Amino acid sequence: MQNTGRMLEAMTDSMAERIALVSKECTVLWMNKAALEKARQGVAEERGERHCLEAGLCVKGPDGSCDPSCPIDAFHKTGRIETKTRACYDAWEKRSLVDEITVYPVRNEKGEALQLVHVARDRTERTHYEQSLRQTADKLRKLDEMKSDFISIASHELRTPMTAIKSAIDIMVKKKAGETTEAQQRFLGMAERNINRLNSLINDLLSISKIESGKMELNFAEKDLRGIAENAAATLGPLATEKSISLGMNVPAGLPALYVDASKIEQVLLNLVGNAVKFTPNGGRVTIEARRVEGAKDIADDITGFVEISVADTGAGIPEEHVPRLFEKFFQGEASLSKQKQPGSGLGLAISKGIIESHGGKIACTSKAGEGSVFRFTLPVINLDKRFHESLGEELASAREQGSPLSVLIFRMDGYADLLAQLGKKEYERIFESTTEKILQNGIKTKDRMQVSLHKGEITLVLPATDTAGAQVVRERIRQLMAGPDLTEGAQGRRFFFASGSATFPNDGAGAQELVEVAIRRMGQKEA
Amino acid sequence: MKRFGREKILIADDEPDLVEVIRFSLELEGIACLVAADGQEALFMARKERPDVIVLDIMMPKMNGFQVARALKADELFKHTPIIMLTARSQAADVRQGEAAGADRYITKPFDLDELLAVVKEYLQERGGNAHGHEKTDR
Repeated sequence: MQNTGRMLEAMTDSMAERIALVSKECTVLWMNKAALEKARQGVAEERGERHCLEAGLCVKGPDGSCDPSCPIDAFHKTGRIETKTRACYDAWEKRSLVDEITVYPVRNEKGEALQLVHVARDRTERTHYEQSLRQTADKLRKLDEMKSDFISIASHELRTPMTAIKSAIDIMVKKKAGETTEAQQRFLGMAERNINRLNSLINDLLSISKIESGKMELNFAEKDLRGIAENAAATLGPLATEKSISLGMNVPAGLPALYVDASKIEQVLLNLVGNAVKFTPNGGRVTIEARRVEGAKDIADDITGFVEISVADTGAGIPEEHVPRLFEKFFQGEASLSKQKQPGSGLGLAISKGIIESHGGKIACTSKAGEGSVFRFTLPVINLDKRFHESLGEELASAREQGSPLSVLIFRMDGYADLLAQLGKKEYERIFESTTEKILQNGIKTKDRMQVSLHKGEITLVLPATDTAGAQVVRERIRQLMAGPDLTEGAQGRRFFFASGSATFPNDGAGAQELVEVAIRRMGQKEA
Repeated sequence: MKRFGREKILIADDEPDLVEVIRFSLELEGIACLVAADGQEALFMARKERPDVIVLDIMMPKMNGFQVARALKADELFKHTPIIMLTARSQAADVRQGEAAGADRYITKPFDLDELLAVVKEYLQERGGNAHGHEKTDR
């Protein structure tokens, strides 16, 4: 036992924390070395008993009593172990101190706290660092915001004069303002090419500033990856052909649909495939591939896995030391080395990374000098039903809390499967999307729309703070809109028919599943 | 290419150069153009001249494009007059605001002149085709 005591003493004496054992009446029973050194005036008496004020554990309040923020006091009042931060002035060292103090009870078998262990840590330096760190971080944040604002304002302001220049050149190129000589046309072509280049630089700057400030807007919809990849390949086909590069695509038909902003994903593919074509010598090969991969275990439960898309080339490869920096802004290792006629903004890959990450995916590159590079990115496969039900559940919870109604409105396109077969997926998607867009823009006010789920020919609207009568008004308005001639455009005069039904909380049910079921049951006969 | 006849377009933008290139291109197609340099003038010209299509910039002095569009669409006479909004901003929030104000189309700068011409012609043709239907309500 004695040995244990010595061991404990050695341990506590080796600590920088000032530890003291204190009675309920605030008499100091024992102190470790650090606490003793702090107490100074009592050092001669060794570990004798005295009030914690004298031992320098406490600071006096204005009336000479114990400090009102004393953690011992707090423990007696609340019975909870609390950590308090206390700033005081050290008369010995003549400096301000910040202590972090924790009080632990020593309990008897009945659980009563007989004595207290008072542990004080000097946080003066850390507090100081934290403060200056916070200030620096604030300053940096402000600077970053200013930079983003500057870029976005500057870009917007540039657009108006650019439009005028572009249009003026266009008029001349098309000879609308009279004949031009061959030499004039050559220089006009030069001006046109460069104004387009300037435009894409500005767009890149805007994109990256939006990504960095978290203001990028994404329009999510269920999409087929094949269509997106085909679009990108079609755009870059001519460039590849020019360099006799074979542009291959291996995107299996059976891949699950993705819930993405298709235009942004196409932008990523255009960037990756464009780079691949640019950096692959004539006669090489660029391949777009996609496959399903398993997700990590800790992913959100509405994500069922991932699709990995890769773009491989037979180019010169990227020097090993450049690979980790590829996705940094303005990094142009490769471009600056090669004799590129028109280097890009150096932002393409950084933008791609931002887009992929905002979709919940990852992007990476592997490269071998002399063998080519492979850029891979993943996109989550989302269980839309689950995601929809989860967010509907959240809406319901807040409706319940606020005591307000909530309606679910479902429209289902008649003969969805037949239409899909007749029109083809791409055309069907296009029509369905423009239909949905029109409904969202004209059918409901922004105020009553909260959320939309659209897949397999269904449009589901969640209308918070909307009762049964309100839901009927919205339903009627959308039905009228669907009956209008606008929705038939581009579909060879084809008319679409929608069945619709609605259900309202709390009248028709309390749960998400219940409401959706009631709405589906109520779907009437065919309505134009 | 179809040549147009009595159609009138109102172009409202405070950038004279931009107005000039648009006006030049439209007039080349035989479409008459009216020009306004700010929102108030746009509203005044629209009411006076009853253009067939209105092209509005958003950022204009005195009254912005949204305000002009809202004022026009609230007017029974202009309910069916197509309004095309031009803007340097591409934020979706702006687009939604434009739609709430009643704009029929939204074109982001820097646009392709051909794109704007195509949209204008499309609206003119549509109005030509529905002339009888609209004539009654419009005039």
